[in-house]
Amino acid sequence: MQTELSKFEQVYYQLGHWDYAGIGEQLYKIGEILENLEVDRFTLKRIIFCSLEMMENVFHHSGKGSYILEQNNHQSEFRIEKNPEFFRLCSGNLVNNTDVEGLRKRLQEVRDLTVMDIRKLYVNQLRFGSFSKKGGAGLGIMEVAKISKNPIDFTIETIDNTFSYLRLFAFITIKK
Amino acid sequence: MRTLQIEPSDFTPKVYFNAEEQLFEIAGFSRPEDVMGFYAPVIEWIKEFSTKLIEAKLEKIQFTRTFRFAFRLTYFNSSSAKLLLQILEKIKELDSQNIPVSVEWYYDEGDDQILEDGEDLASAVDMKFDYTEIKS
Repeated sequence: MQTELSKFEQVYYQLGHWDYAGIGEQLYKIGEILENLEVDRFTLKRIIFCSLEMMENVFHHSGKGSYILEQNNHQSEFRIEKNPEFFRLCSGNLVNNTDVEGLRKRLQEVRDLTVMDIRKLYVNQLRFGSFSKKGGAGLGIMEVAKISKNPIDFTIETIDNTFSYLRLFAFITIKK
Repeated sequence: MRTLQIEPSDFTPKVYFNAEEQLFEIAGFSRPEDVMGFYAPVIEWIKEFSTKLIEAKLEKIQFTRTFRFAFRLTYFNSSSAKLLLQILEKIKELDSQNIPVSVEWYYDEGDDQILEDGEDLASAVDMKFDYTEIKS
């Protein structure tokens, strides 16, 4: 869904690793930018909380492979862009190649579901999913799709024998 | 039983569990960095409370008032959702023992996201919630 960068204008961009408190600082800046764009209260809230889930996901799963992080185009990133119809949120981070197959399967599953089906899957995962210190049993990606109310999209680019780079996209409809 | 009171922070909600008042409230924003660490004392408290209530019920003590569990959350992240479910499962245990409990779910007017989050948690725990829209 609409992953061509050229059609969107950039609203916010953050490159590089961030810590937990740094997420709060970024959200504050995003809130200010969106208020200046006169985004309505509930769209703003959706963007903020989608951003939060996506940045937390990067925070929990980045930091791998520091030698690659030295290269600008493979650092963690978070961006918000807009066109007349949507705000597009994009997070990017390294993933281990050993995780790619499972990740692709889970992302494809979420991407291909309707919003109602995502809610059913979310409830099911909430009840039966295993939970770790790193996160909520794979709930984060579902939460992004649930909040945005649009299908997610993603790309996975192989970097070398060890790492790939995941870009996750979420779309929030602009109220007319 | 001692009152559990945790003041809110930038990342964590206010928690106020008062057995005497029969009022139990979680309010605000929930994205603790150490989500298990934050919710551990809350879950421990509710487990202990639940055990005491079930023991009292077995001793034929009558409960005249409803134990009100109020959730006034503005946002909780996906990690917090799993821990909120654990709290709700303890509340459901009380309900299953015919101890009068209510789950009150508050959301700001027009905020269908937090309403849906409540519906999803209600569905996950298989319990009826009472929803209240707070007019702005």
